Amino acid sequence: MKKRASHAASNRIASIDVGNRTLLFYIGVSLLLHIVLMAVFIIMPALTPSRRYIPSAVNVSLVSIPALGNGAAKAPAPEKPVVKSTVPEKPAVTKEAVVKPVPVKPPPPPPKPEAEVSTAPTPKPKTKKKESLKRKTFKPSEVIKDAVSKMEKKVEKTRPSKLEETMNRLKQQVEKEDRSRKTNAGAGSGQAGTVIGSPTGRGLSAGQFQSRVQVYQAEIAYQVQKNWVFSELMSSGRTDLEAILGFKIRPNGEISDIWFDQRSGNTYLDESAYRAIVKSNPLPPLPAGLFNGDYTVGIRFGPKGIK
Amino acid sequence: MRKKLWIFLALFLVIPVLLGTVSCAKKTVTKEEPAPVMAPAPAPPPPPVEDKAAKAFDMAKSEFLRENIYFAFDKSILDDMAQATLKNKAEFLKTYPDVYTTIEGHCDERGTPEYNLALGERRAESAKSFLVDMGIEAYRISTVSYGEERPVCTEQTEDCWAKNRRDNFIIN
Amino acid sequence: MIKRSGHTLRVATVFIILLLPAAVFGQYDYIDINNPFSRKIPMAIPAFAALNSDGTDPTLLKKATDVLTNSLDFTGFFNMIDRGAYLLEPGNPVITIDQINFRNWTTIGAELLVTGGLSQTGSLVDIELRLFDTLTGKRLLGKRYHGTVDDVRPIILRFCNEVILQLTGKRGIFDSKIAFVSNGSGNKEILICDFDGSNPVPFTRHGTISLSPAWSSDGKWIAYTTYVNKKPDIFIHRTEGSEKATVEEKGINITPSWVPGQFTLSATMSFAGNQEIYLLTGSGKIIKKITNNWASDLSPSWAPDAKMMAFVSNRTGAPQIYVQDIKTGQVERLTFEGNYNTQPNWSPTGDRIAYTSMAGSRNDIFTIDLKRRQPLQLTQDTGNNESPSWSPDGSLIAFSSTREGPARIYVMTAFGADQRRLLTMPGEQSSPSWSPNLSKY
Repeated sequence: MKKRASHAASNRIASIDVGNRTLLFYIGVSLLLHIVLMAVFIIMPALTPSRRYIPSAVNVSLVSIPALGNGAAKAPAPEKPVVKSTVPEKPAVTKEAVVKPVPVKPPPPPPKPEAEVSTAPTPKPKTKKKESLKRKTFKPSEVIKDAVSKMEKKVEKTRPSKLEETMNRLKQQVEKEDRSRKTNAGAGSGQAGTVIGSPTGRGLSAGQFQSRVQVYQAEIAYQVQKNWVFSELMSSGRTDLEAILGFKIRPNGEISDIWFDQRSGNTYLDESAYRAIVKSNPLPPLPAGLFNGDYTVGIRFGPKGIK
Repeated sequence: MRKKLWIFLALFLVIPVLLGTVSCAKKTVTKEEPAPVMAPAPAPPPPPVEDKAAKAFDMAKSEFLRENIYFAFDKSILDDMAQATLKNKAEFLKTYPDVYTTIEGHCDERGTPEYNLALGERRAESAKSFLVDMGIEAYRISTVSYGEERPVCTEQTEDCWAKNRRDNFIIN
Repeated sequence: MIKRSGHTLRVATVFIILLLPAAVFGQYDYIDINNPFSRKIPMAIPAFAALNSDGTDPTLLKKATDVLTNSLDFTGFFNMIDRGAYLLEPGNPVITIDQINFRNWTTIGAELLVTGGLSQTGSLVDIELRLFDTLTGKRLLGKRYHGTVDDVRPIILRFCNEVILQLTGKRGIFDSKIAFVSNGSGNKEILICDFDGSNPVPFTRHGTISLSPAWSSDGKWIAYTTYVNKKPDIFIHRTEGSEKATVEEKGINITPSWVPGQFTLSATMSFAGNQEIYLLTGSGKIIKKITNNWASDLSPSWAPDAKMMAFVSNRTGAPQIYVQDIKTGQVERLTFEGNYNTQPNWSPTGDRIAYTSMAGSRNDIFTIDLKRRQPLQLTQDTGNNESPSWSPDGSLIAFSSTREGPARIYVMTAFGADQRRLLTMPGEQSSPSWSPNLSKY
């Protein structure tokens, strides 16, 4: 089909002036291939996440979020009982009603009133969380009102930092976590995310690009991990299982496709990993100018056990 | 004369016995007087020989029943004190060949109940072997283990635990 | 001519280059996540709805709701979302798939939804129970039951078993029971309660010391040690019925433990002079001696395939846990940490053994996996914890603990989480023994 198309195109082009013919030919072909590829991606049975794939639990949190930006003041309509709860730090917005704080580069995570619950299991996993989260359950509307006021007080206390400070903090966080986590980005090449249409953020050096990518990756990791529910009982406590998934993030943060690069062999682990990504939709929008088009990234889910 | 005798008795019998029963765990080896062949009663007529013997037996028997032997934690080895006590018991059993006895082995409440049941039996058997070696017929001695199920005290102290790590002797 | 082929070549090259990164496996970054944020799947269970307009006793509805919620909560797999957070319209029952707006449930974070409906006519009840996946909006289970008012609890437990089977691939433990020792009557007797501690009933009434209950693998017999004859003997008694057998040899007869899948049991006996583990028929007849060592060997516990037996021996001077291959007779020491390790209990999953380890004067529960032989401490700094016993699916451990003062039966997950008391009775409770699944279905 493609061949026929290009042939048809080239036939039409053939009638044009010889000098321009070659150039036009290439343009035509390139265009066609682009169209074809785009068509492929649109048609592909993507997991188009509908609005109902919402990240998990509701309720309260007494989240002490370090150095956070604005956001709190722009509390989304608290009267609405239907709350899209997301991880506190991300401006992961799904409803238009919610005011999105204007993001610049990695958007400063505004403390959302419908901040997240963490049900830390009794033997606390040694997560490198910066917050301490407590769990309570309340009615959502009350929760929001309550939390909003708390957040507002908190934001007063924690000086809203500039974008740079936030980014640096996240960067440091990422570097710290890098020691125990390995991200593949160590390949040094800024090829992260160069799936299609490569260019790195203009004006950024390779190093800067690298760290900004890592910062965004940290946000992804944080969000997905928060949505990952898995019991060691389902895997008989094995610590050698690993499910590897890949997914695509649209510039607005929407996850447009999820697939398995490697199944662990344990159905429950695989399912839990898949759902974790599903629930994390949408992620924060891609940092502007960092990627061109969608960003493809993978996650290795390897539960290491509680103790 | 009789009075003096009475005082004599009091001095040399009752007091050592009283001293002997003061502390179980830290008992110093007090050599008990051999059952005195003496007229015990204040009753004027000289007591018949059977009564005397009966009394003697009673006293020996109560000593036999009263004296326990004790063990170190998780051990069924007989230390010097235990052996001395057992020697007395052997004497008693030799003297009264119609006496059959059961040795009950016990443990303190530490550890776990099943292991203590086994340990209690080892302690009882340990004492039995010693007595048999001293010439007592094996068929006269039974053993039973109560593990940690029959403590004499329940405080969680070294003192109480030591009291519970014991063999005690009953007469069948 | 040449130009043409050059074109094709260039087209092809351009085409390939464009597609290459996407085609090659994983040519992108990977992020590692090693810790799930939560072990428990958020679940919502709205109160049971009455299916008929009258005739249904509201207390019965509440009982059904409580049994359902508490039983699923007991497993430790789920995080029950507080009912106060549910988005419900009063008067609109939420039972069948067409009545449910799944967004109301995903919004509050529920990933699983269980709905129940009950209609009562006199002493008869009809019960409907459904399990939904809120993220996909699919119904995973739907069941209808019929019975009497007294069947409400068993019916709901049966459904719970199906829920767990559906979600974990393994049957639930809701019809299992726990035998244990309690001295509330003045003597240590054996009692049996449901998996969640409800309905304790006496099993022995000997009026003397009775210890160490052990369930046969078909759940029909319990063997135990008792002082009925003023010494430790083993009685084997039907759990329902009066058939019994005894093991009354000279010396001690202790630590009975059934061989999985057989009507045989092992026990420690000392009639031959040495404390060894013997194999006996379920009727109490000695088949043969299993261990062969001058030291004390006791507390046998069998692997689920009956090919290996764990036991306690003090052959090195202090009690440690060993494993014997039944076929070859070869014995291997299992525990090397700590110098007082007893009460082995082999997990029904076959891969690990729970046991009690004493340090100082306190006992704690450990598990050790058979592959890497790594001990894992499950209790710590909470009084004396001993007598571990696995649930039939290997997900929970019952044990006794003095953390509150008097000894009580506790339950925790296989990895030491969610430690909570099972029941409270007068006196002290100890030595729990978890039955196999006892379903009659």
